[in-house]
Parts: sequence; C-alpha cells; structure tokens
Amino acid sequence: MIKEERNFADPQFETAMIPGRFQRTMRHCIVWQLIRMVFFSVRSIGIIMVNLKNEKELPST
Amino acid sequence: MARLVVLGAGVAGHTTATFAKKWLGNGHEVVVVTPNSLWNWIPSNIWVGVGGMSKEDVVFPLAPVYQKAGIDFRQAKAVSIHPEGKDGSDTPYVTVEYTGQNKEGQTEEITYDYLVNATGPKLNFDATPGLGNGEGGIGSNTVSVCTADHAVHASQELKQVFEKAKRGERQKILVGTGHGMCTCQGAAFEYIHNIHHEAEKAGVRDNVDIKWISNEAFLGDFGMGGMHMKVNGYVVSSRIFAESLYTERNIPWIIGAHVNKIEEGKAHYELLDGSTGEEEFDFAMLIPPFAGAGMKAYDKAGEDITSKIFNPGGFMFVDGDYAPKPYDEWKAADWPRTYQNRDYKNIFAAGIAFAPPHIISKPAKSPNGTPINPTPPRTGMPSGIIGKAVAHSIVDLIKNGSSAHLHEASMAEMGAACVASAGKGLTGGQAAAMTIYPVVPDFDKYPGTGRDTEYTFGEIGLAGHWIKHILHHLFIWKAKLKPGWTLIPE
Ligand SMILES: Cc1cc2nc3c(=O)[nH]c(=O)nc-3n(C[C@H](O)[C@H](O)[C@H](O)COP(=O)(O)OP(=O)(O)OC[C@H]3O[C@@H](n4cnc5c(N)ncnc54)[C@H](O)[C@@H]3O)c2cc1C
Repeated sequence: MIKEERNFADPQFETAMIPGRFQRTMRHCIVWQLIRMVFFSVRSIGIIMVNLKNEKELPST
Repeated sequence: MARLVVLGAGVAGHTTATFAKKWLGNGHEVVVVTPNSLWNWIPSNIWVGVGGMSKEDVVFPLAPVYQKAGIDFRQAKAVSIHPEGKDGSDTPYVTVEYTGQNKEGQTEEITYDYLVNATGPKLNFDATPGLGNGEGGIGSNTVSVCTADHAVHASQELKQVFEKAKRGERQKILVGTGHGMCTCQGAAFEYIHNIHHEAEKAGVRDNVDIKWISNEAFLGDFGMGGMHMKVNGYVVSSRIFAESLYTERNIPWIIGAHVNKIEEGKAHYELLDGSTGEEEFDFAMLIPPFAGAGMKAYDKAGEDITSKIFNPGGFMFVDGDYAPKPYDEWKAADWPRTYQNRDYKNIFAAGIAFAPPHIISKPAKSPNGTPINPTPPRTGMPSGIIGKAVAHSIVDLIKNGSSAHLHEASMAEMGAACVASAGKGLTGGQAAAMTIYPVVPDFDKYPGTGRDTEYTFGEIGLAGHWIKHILHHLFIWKAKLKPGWTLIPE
C-alpha cells in the first residue's frame, strides 16, 4: 500500500485514481522522462504545424 | 512613413511590436506604450511565489531591448483613444500618461496610423470586498502571484507559514479564485501544487492543510469547459485528471464558489446551489477577476464612445459575433479571426485585451442569480499567436495598402501546448504537460468532446517540469530578441 491510498477515506476523493508505485517511479525515471520529453516536444511541433496549416489570409474589409 | 502604436508590452504586445518592427524595417515607426519598465515572464511568477526563483529571474528591462530593435518606447499608460482625431485634425491619436522616463504624471497625445490594444488584464481586486485595498491594488488579507512583486510578497508570507508549521502550529492554506467570474484557474492550479511540493520538501506537509476553492463547475474545467484528452491511451475528462491529482496530494476542493467577501483569515462564499459558507485560512492566494485596462474612447466631437469600442468589462470589440445567444447556439465561428476592431479598421486588439464573444465553459448561476462560471482564458501561446497574426496584418496593410489580406488566428482553429507546473526541481519536479486542439471547442466538427483527441493529450511527470524550465529560458531569450529569436515559436 502507498501512503496516498489513505486519502480515499475522504468521500470527496472516492472516484479518483491515483498512481501505484510503478507509475510513480516512472514519473521520475530520468531515462523514461527523457523519452517522454521528446514525445511531448514532437506533439507540440504537431500543434505548431496544425496552427501554421490553419493560418489563412482574408481580404481586408 | 506609417506609425504603429502598440499599447502594452506583455506577451501579445511585445510579440506584435517586435515582429512588426522586424518586418517593417526603418521605413516605418513602431511605438510601444507600457507603464512598466520591466518585461515579466508571468508563468514563472509561480516559482517566485514559492521562493524557487527571484524576481530578477523573471524580469528584464525593456528599454535596451527596444533601443536595439529601433522601437520607440514610452513608459506610460494609455488613458484614452481618439480614433477620429479631434477638432481641426482627422489624425487618430491616443492620450498617454507617463509613469517613468522622468516624465511621471505628464500627459501626451501620440498619433497613429495603426493601433494595437494589447493591454492585457486589469487585476480587479476591488470586485470582491476585502480582496482589494479599495484603491485598485491588492488588500492585506490575501496574496497574489499575478505580478513579480506580488509573487515576491507571496513567497515571504508562505515562508512564515512554513516556519509556523515547523514549530508545530497547524496552518491552513487556501488557493483558488477570488470571485465568481474569474479566469486563470491554471495559475492557481500551479500555485497550489507548488505549495504542496514545497511543503513536502520542507517536511511540514503533515502540519499544513491545503484547500482549493474555485468558480469552476467541476475541478479541471479551467475556463475551457474542461477537456477530454488522451492519457495513457485512454480518453479521459480533465475532471478525472485533476481530481486524481488533488486526491493523490490530499488537497480537498470547494467548487462552484463565488467568493464574495474576504476578512482577515476568512473567505466568505456562495455556491452554485445557493448555499453559503466560510473558510478560514492562515494564507490565501486568490486570483482576482480580470477587467480591461479601463481606457476611454472619444469621437471627433469629444463625445464618449467607450461603449462602442469596449464591452462593459473594458475588453475591445473586434471581429467576433457578439450577438447574445443561448449556450446551445454558441458556435466556434463566433470567435474572432482577425482581431480588427469592428468600427475602426486601423485598430486591432491582441491577447487578453480583445472581447471574447462569450465564455467557453457552460454558463451557470446560483438560485440567487449570482453568475458563477469561469471567464475564458487567453493563455500565453494564443496571446502570442494572435499578437503575431495582428503584426502580420498591419505590416501587409502598411506595405500593400488597404486591399491587403488580413491574417487569421481564431482560437477555435488554434491548438495550444500548455505546461502546468506541479512542483519545481531538477529531479524531483513535476508538471502536467498538455496539448489541446482547438482551444475553443468545436462541437460541430468534433461531436462529443468538442476537440480532436488525436491532438488533445495530457501527462504528468518530470519531463513536463524540464520542458517548463526550458520554456522559461527560451521565452526570455526570445523576448530579449537574442540571436534566433524569430525561430522560437509563440
Ligand atoms: C500567475 C500566472 C501564471 C500564468 N501561467 C501561464 C502559463 O504557464 N502558460 C500560459 O500560457 N499562460 C500563463 N498565464 C497567462 C499569461 O500570462 C497570459 O495569457 C498572457 O500574459 C497574456 O498576454 P497579454 O499580452 O494579453 O497580457 P499581459 O502579458 O498581461 O500584458 C499586458 C501589458 O499591457 C500593459 N498595460 C496595462 N495597462 C496598460 C495601459 N493602460 N496602457 C498601456 N499598457 C498597459 C501591462 O503593463 C502589460 O505590459 C499565467 C498568468 C498568470 C497571472
């Protein structure tokens, strides 16, 4: 059991989900996080590309 | 030679002015009017507010940057716009009042060919009794992280709270929004999680109760009606994402709250169900509602036309569809595309200064008639993109005449990347990294969620923190116009 599981005693928290030990380790695993950083950067570039694609010009009024 | 006057040197105004100057060259003038001598990378104020950065880390003087770029810098605040000129002259102008450059208090009329209003938000602390000081500033009951100076003060107060907690005195911390019509929940989200993180690091978390209070109808609304995003291969609501993080960190929440009064150590609120309550605190950071900068506008005869140019909140009307209509009839197409003022075609608004056609979240009222819903956020990336599109349009108008094409940057067709810090630290930090497309949901195009779940994604981890830290340096580099600045996206 991880200590955060105790928080579920509060009824407000009942329906949430919290990461287990493995997920928590991965959140701070340097190698995995470097991979995720590359992944997020690629996703962000994707967003930038979509924005560029959507850039349009309109005749001025 | 044409003159472009940009009001405000925040994310939007600085982007407009610097790109316009670069594209126009020395043949035309770019004037920036802004009351502060320093540029502030506002997102990093969160870290200043927990003592993780100093004020000097997040600000730099504007004058040398503008001098290098050939931009005429006036440290002043715009007071009024005169788009038709005045008796005897058709040349439009703005009236400004100096706040620096050894001209404090002096007023001046600055004529323009094109005007960009990028004055961002006025922090309207006085909208909630006890949140403000009655003179437009922040009161003494709560702290803020909206400016670098506010954040420095917040960090000093937080330090005292941690010291008391260390001595065994139980402390209560309340973070969120200070009014039913606030935006910027994301900043409060970052601050509460950074406080949690610092409290853990200081070993005082068990002695500190941390609570969230906000005007969102559900946790994770963020003023965008929430979002459905891909997380670990699942499409989940930001509500689950946010509630899970708060649960993990033992941060209970009060949601759907209009904070209507603050006293020393106590916040009073009304909830969406009409009930009322109060929450005690030893330390509270409550974001104030935002208003427009409060400029006036006059026609040639000197008649007040403020309500023609600005909405009642002080935000400038542009090319959005402002016809009032019920929530079910809101469309992505209501959102402005070119940010050109609907009446005066040589005036544009960029960033927070433009009037949104309506809110994004579902409107909500308590049975007492109190509106309790977030107003639309216009975060850094959209503000920068809009600022650049406006610069592009004006440059084309100047170079090619009034038949030039205007550039579009509708928030309903724009994606954004957003990184919300949940704690600072090279190996121990965390942030929620998100991409979202489009910013304003389009339920016709994406029935169900309103957004493209291929592009709308979120994840929390150390990588997010690294990205946030890299972005801090990248954006300050870009704002200082250092080599390669144009290659850094907005
Ligand atoms: C604490 C905090 C954290 C945030 N974190 C993030 C984040 O992580 N990511 C993100 O994308 N966004 C974030 N935001 C939002 C982001 O800061 C804004 O979206 C952005 O600053 C908006 O840009 P703007 O140019 O419209 O306004 P601003 O950046 O506020 O600039 C407005 C400018 O106008 C000037 N001005 C005001 N009145 C006048 C006047 N009368 N005349 C002339 N000039 C005037 C001001 O001095 C200022 O220079 C955060 C906001 C806050 C408060």
